[in-house]
Amino acid sequence: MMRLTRVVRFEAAHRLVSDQLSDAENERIYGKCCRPGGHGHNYEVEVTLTGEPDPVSGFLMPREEMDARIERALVSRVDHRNLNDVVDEVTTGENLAIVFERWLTAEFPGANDNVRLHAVRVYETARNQFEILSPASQAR
Amino acid sequence: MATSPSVRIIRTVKFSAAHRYASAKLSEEENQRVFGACYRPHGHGHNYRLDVGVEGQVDPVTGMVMNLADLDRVLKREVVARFDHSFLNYDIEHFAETVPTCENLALYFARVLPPHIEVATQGRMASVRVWESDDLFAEVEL
Repeated sequence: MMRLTRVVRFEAAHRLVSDQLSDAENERIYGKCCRPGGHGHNYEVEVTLTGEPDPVSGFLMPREEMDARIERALVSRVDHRNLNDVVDEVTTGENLAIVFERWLTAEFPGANDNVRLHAVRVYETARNQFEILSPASQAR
Repeated sequence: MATSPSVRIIRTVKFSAAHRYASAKLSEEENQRVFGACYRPHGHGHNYRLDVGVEGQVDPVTGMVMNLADLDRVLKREVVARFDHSFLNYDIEHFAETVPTCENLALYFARVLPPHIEVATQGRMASVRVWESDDLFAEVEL
């Protein structure tokens, strides 16, 4: 068993704000991340797949296929968008990792595939990274 | 006395090499379809990066898992001297018939390096990660 990791990048705006909190609480908890107009990041996401390489091609998954699935599941939904428009949860790095793992699992379900999603790591900035191990991968 | 946890040291080496993706088991059309630009006859190249993880107990006197010079000597001899400025398909026997993908390079290093590293450092080789570019790597946990 081995792992292959693809790194993808996207640019998006967001604002940390919860509709379950008062304005004062949002301000206290999220600080400058809660400013009304929002702000943005150059996000980087590491998508790690696991499985066995095809004995003939040597590929765990052909790159075009892999890139098309990641584009469909993730990049096309977030690049140059406001994350608050596309994610229901508060758009913290923690929640983004959880949501992206769910989206990517739909493209790499592992059932009739020789590969499945192993982990997703989201870099909000070079200093903040959020990692989630795929529950499907953990269960096996 | 309770044993302390082992610590993993990860050392990075780099090499630049050419390669080409082609399988004798596939027809011309299939090779073209599966490998695309990577099938072009004269190959292309990458600046590869290899991260090798070696585990062991920290020596209470030296504070080190191993003498890094021992690890560096093995990596220089078994990786850099053989792979740097090579054409993987022609210069590394294993890749005459095995397609030199990132995945197969990781599997190859995971198979051939451990005995050399264990003899030289007394540590256990625990992981290998092969970067083909800054947006793609393959890894094996041993």
